[in-house]
Amino acid sequence: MSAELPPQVQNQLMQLQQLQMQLQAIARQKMQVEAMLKDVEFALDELEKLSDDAIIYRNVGELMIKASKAEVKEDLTDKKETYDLRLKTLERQEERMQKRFQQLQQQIREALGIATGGESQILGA
Amino acid sequence: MEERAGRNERAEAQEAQALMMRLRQYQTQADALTQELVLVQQSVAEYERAMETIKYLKKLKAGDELLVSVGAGASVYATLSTPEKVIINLGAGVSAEKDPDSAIESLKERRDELDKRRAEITELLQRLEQEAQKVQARLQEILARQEQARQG
Repeated sequence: MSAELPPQVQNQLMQLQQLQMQLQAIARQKMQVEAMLKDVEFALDELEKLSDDAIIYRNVGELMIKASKAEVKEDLTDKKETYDLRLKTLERQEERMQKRFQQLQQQIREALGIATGGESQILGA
Repeated sequence: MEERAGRNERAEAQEAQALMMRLRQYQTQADALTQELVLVQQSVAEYERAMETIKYLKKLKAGDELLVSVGAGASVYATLSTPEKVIINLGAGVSAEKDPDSAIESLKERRDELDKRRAEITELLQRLEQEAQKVQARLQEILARQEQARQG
């Protein structure tokens, strides 16, 4: 089937497939960052509910090391900022790729439309 | 007349291709959602087990003997030292000490969140299936017409 397509369209289709794969990879990364962000936000919310002298532990590998609420809060707030930033970057990347994807899709549609029209003219003649 | 029929055939063939692509996308989405659903269901069951365990531990007192599983069906004897304290994971690599009731409350909140997600995924899967059925019906319609045209 693809052998019948003009080389330019074949090339565009390949680009489209690559873009689709990249978009899927970004969506996966976004999902991971969103999950981590949600995790940190949930932990921060839970931390807020505890008294200032609450006994907190930080998980370090298989160990749990005692820490103060203030320390842990600062740590989590930093993490939250990092994840927020990473998410925004991914969203911008996704938006750019989505636009390129739509452009390419349109170009392919137009190219295919012209090809079919041309073919029918030949057949008609 | 023949030219118009040819054009229609080609348009339908293109539509069939687009529909097949959409079906594949639906299948990918459904696979991902099913995987997530399994994980969510496993988590819900884990939360239920933890809550049941803490509830039961409330009935015990310091000094009571119990068996702690070390995996692979093996257990070791242990003595309960502080049944009034439970360490609970808050997420993001942080844990906190809580009394059993607050620990159960926290676990319940998380379990409820997971339950909500479970309902969401189930609904999404149902919608995907409905959409896929519609696409499949249209696809079969086109394929049947193409077959008829080929025979006729």
